[in-house]
Amino acid sequence: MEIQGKILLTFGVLSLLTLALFVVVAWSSRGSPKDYAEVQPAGYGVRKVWFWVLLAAIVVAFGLSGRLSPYSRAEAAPDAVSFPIVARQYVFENIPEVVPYDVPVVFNLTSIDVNHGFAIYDAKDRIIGQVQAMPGYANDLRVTFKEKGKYIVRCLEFCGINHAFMQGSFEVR
Amino acid sequence: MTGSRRFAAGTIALVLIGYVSIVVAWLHLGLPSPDHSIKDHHLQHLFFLIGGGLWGIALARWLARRHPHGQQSAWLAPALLAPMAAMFLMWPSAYPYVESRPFLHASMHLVFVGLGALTTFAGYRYTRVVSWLLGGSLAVMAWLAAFFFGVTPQPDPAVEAIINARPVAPATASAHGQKVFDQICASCHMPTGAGLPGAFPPLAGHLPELLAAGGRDYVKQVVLYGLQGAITVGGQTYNSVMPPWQQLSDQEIADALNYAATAWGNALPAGESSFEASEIAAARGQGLNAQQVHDARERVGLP
Amino acid sequence: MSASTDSFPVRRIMALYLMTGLALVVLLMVVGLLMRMSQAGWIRLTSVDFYALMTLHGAGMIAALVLCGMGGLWYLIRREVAMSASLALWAYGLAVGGVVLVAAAAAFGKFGAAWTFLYPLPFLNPTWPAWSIGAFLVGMTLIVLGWSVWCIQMLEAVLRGFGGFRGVLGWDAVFTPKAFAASGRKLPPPQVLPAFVIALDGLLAAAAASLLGVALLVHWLDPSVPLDALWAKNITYFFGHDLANFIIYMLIAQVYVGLPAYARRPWKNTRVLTLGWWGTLVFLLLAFPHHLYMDFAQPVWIQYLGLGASYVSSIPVAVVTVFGGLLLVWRSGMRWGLGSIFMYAGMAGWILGGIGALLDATIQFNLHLHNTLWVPAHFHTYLLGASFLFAIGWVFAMLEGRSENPTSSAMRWTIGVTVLGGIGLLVATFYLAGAASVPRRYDVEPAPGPVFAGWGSVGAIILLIGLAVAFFEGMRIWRGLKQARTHVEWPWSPEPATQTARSGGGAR
Repeated sequence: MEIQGKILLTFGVLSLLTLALFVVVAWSSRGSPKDYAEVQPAGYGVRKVWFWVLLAAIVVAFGLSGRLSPYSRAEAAPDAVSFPIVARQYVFENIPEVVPYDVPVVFNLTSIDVNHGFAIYDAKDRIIGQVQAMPGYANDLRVTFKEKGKYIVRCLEFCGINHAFMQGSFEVR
Repeated sequence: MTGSRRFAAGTIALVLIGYVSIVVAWLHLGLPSPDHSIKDHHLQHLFFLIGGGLWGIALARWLARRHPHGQQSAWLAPALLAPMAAMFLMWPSAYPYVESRPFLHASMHLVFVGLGALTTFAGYRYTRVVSWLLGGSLAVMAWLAAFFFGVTPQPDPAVEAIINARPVAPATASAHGQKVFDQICASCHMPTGAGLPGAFPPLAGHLPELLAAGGRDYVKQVVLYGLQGAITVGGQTYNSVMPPWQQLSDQEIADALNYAATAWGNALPAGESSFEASEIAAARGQGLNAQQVHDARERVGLP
Repeated sequence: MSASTDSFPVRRIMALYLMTGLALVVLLMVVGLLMRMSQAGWIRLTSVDFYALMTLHGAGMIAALVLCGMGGLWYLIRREVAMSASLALWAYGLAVGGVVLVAAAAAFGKFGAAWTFLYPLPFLNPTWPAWSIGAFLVGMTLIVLGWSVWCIQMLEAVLRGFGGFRGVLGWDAVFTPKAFAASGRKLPPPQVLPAFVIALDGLLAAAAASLLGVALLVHWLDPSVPLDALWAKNITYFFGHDLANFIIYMLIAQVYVGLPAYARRPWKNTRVLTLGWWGTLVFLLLAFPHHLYMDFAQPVWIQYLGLGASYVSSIPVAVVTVFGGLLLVWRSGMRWGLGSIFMYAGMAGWILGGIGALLDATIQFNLHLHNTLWVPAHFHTYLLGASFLFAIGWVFAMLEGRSENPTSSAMRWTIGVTVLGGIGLLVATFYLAGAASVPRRYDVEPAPGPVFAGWGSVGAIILLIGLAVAFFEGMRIWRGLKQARTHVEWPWSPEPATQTARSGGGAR
């Protein structure tokens, strides 16, 4: 399953759990009411556990995010093949026709007018990575293509009237 | 009495810190080898604002002590507008002009001191905490502006390298035209010139039709000034916007038009010659907008 | 801490803000529906019209919901502390004037650089005229000025009414809880915390916004003045993220006051609630870098600061406020009126939107979700599925609290299912499309975008129908109030008993 599917699944499961909790709590209010002072101590006990669980989840997620981030990967492959690309309304200039397969590749992006995005879509039309192209700045996106075939690049930062049609493509061989 | 003494000490401290801020700014300007860069000017103005702001608080405190007042809401107007006025006065491109006129230059510094003072003084008339908050915000705004507002960034060699890595124009006009077309025009009109039905009109078949109908000037105008408004091509209505391409060179436009007029089975109609860079240059000065180009299309008699 | 005897009808101020805000919201919902229908291919907007409407929808919705929050919170604080009504009217006038200018720029100039107007886009698109750029920027500046006036008034009032920074921040209760309890002092009521936090953070956001506004106006007047694109982007998202987030943190104050009335249990300020808001005070300002994850030129430590602040900002919401809301309802014998249904559902929406937001705020996931429809998915969940529900929930709480004619069970179900179901369908299509990598801000979307846009339009239509029914139901209750003339006090009225006498009767 591609990463978007896993994210969606995570979101779906957590959302359903949340909604179930809200339904259960709403349902509980239908019976004979209990005095607030009676339910508060137990509630605050649950809250304490919930606090530590959430905090632990945050610490773990923060640690993992640091390991997996695109920034740390950027430093990891100094011998990559690089492709300088200039984004402008509404075209990616100098986009390569062929990109090598299973080799670290770096796209050096900049823009000569407004902010643009550079998002690589695979054959299943899913984003496998993206970076912004900004005037005056160089942004490097590192990718290693594990699948051959045609890839489409779309601009993902709103760049003007024809933004939706700003795209390019290359082939991984 | 201790309250009164603390008040006096606080007021004197504010006046002194304000004075030092301004002296620091002045001295900086008078250094043997002054760096008159925009950034340094911004930073000096920041110090003028801080100094003036502290004086404004001291003055307002002192006045409020002698003539107690309640919340004066009307003072919020200058309190909020003075910081924006100060930001406007940090107008970077005006600095050279001001700098060459010593009297104006000195007056401008006084204005910065005054605006700093007005911000905090007026804020104080509403309530004390507002004077500190707005004065502090003003200092942070000026600080954030100092390094970026109108400051020409150092050219980044990495950016230059990316821009310069673009291929130089190929030798032949036709190959050049195809290159320009594929890079610029093909994202909408497609590399095959077929366009995208409903979104972007085709050029294959349509461009010779335009030229045959006497639309040579219109074609040049569309490329230079863009097109906005509904058109009909091959029975299909198109209502997207064509952006203008003034940033392309005359040669690039001429080559791209010649390519589009002869590719995918297109051919120049009898009597029409290929596009020249000189005629593109001549069409540049018309100052049309995309709507006027649409009118031009209607004048040619095309739907 | 006592309210002044100022006889100005304070409810009218709130009604003015809320009615303007909610009317704008509904109008802009229709605009959003048009955009979604165009993406679905049901109608065809030109690119120029689409992006002008998108700009209007974005800037207008933020302003409209902020207006709702401003009015609601102003009223809640005004019940406790005297505040000038004319100053509140000034804030309203400035903000509404700004909205009018922004709308003019979009409607007549077709200004379409999106509500984020990232430099240098406003200046580099030939389809809108130069005047529309200026009108939009001046309009946004006016909104910021009105906002600043509100923040200043609110901050001054809560500091005056509740013992300065020390009292509002609950300093003694946090650090010396035993002595504080022994002294018999009390923490301020819970709605004071959002008022204070938003007013303080709001002034900082306003300072950043006005700096950028001036810089862009100067560039507009004199294009030779260059700005730094990354700097402008940071400032844009600093105040943009803040302003969009302020909305929900303002409107939760209405829930702090409204929900207890239905649950017949008090929602009191505690040491934990105060500490939660201390966190919000800081994290609100620090989370914005998650909008710039894909700008690899940004210093990496700022990215991790944004990541940490985004994650941690969930604690005050999930552990303190929403948990407190759930505990309030748990086995309470809750009265389920439209007001409590909307507020309760809104808290669920806040959590759901938060889950979506935190997934997107994870750098590694952002690489795949940034600027896809996942982004509108999560913020629609907590602007539409939470903030807006809090606002209309409050309106119904005000009505139901004084009505003898409660809404029938069938009507409650009809409205609840259509409004919540419509919202659910609308945001679900955004999430699904975002997970399918459909980009946001595309007037013509690649497949499968149009399919989702179609279902999203269906959701929006259901929502609008539900809102229409809710509107007429609200009018029915309101007319009942007028005819009765007598002032009925339900035991669960959101009005404190001492207060209703002072603010007088009258449905508005």
